[in-house]
Amino acid sequence: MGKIDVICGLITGAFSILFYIGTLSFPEMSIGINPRAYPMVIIAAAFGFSLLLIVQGALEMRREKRRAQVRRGETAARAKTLPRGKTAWYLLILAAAMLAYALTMEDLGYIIVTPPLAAMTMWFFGERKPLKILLVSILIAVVLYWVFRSAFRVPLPRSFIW
Amino acid sequence: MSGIVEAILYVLAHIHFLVIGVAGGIIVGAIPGLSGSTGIILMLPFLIYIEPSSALIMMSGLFCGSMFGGSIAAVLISTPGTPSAAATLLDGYPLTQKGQAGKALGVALVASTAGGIISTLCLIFLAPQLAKIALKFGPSEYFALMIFGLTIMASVSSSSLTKGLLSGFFGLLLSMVGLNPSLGTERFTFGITRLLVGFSTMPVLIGLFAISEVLSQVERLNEGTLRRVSSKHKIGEILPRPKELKGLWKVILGSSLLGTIIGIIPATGGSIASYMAYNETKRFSKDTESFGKGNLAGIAAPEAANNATTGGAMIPLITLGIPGDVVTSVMLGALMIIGVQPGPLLFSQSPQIVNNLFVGFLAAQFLMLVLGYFSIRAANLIFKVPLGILYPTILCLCLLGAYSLGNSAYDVLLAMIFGVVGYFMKKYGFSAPSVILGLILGPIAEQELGRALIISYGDWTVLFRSPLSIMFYVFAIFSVIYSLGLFKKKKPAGR
Repeated sequence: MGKIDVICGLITGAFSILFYIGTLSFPEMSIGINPRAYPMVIIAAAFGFSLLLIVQGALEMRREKRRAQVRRGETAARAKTLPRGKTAWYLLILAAAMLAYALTMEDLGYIIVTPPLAAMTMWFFGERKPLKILLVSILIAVVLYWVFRSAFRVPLPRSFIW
Repeated sequence: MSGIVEAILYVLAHIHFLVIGVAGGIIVGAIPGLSGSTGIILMLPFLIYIEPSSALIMMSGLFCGSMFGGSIAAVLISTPGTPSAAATLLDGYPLTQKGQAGKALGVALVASTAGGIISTLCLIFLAPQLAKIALKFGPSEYFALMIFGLTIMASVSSSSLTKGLLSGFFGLLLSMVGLNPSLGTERFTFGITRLLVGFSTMPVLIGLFAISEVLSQVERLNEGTLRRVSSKHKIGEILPRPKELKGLWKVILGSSLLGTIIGIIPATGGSIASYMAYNETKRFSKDTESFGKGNLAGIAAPEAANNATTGGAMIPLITLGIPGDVVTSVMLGALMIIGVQPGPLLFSQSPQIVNNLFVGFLAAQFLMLVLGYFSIRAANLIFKVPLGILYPTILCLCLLGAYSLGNSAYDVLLAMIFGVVGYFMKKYGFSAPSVILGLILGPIAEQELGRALIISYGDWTVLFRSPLSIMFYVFAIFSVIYSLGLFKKKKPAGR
């Protein structure tokens, strides 16, 4: 977990620096609050806590190293690392599917893009019967379409089919 | 008085929203992995299309229902459906093992209802008084209040104070993207036109709380840490006998009052209230030995207390606009989305919404008694909901919900991005509620700071001149110290 904390601290620290750069283009004002004042307080605090997390993470890494030396031969508790193997693939595919969904829904239409996403998610949650996946994924899309389009009058993106 | 009559008529005419809220709350509370906050997010796409008052009573019903729902899983499968129900399983599950699941759930239901009613009465009597005081706040007092509200982000974090605060500051950074609220000038858009409007709360809420949950569940299912739970325990007799209730009324009353007080204090919440009530009941009991083995008082105390926090937590939320815990943080975001700005002005500008909320909140407690009874009967069915249908539906509903607010695929993209961010935040111990607090309270704090400084011609000491402001700063310091204490206590246990 120590290593992850260091990485997270670096990411949030970089984010704070990016925001700091953003303040450089702010206009100067003579009355009330300087437009840079409030953001700078938030940015400084975010940067400070990022540094603190990096330090805490580094200390934790040292402790983990010592513990590993003491426990040599024993099975150490499983650290929270990035997802691996099949899980990582599932998560990546699901994230990519959601991205594709967001990018294509206005062109292809809601009713076309929703069933594949629903079907894929069903598969990831252990459903293996093709007919059930097909029927349920279409049903989810149609029911939600009906509720939002008919009951709430949300103009969902339509396609050449529907 | 006519306002109350009008509110009663309104709630009666819109009772179906309350029924959906309470029933939905019981179901999401009972399913481990889902919670009251997720329930509110799932309802959001529907809430934006109904009247604010109806949306508010629906959310209130869900909030109360989820508190009781958590006890169903705790009692039947020894897994608390919500964190607040953790103390209930200590005596609830042993009773289930003895074949008295129905009785355990019946006591939980009665205690929850009583706790909810007592806290609602406190809400009805205390909230208007507090709102009257809050109406006298100027910008500097409001700024101090927002600072106090923001310190809550330290305590809603579960694993580390640094990560909780860092999450909150991440939310504050996000809240600054778009236009400066005082000057109207563009900032932190980095040349991206879409960012001129900033980050809408809805896609961020949906992403951080619901989509991230779907991703986490995919991981848990594949890593083998998500078990398909089911219960084959017989429910048996449900309603407790009058003699049993007679022996519990003092416990229920005491725990309800304790829960209400804890609920009012920001940064606390149902988990703390239920454990405190359990410990106090055990401490004052003549039969301490039977606790942990199926003592009915051990179920009544935490359930009365955790449901009593609902009314208590609504007091600072609707009068001051500051949430007390995770669910009310999400509720605050949801209220902003449906166009209700909590705070003292709500009482003077929209008194009917407040009256409807009071009546709806009270009605939700009685409705919970009825729906709770049937949900206990059908409890074993709730656990049979197939994950392979539940989570895909949640995902599609979330993405559609993100789209529906602005009819824009950009919001779907945002929800998806925040879903991935939320997944990693959850995995590595960061706090999504803190991000929401920063995102919502940040702009208000900045606006009030700007106003205070414009009025005082740039004199910063205006922020510390009023006794009320100083009081809020002191509260803020106490809140951080309290969180530090909480994390120090957690550390040795975790090692």
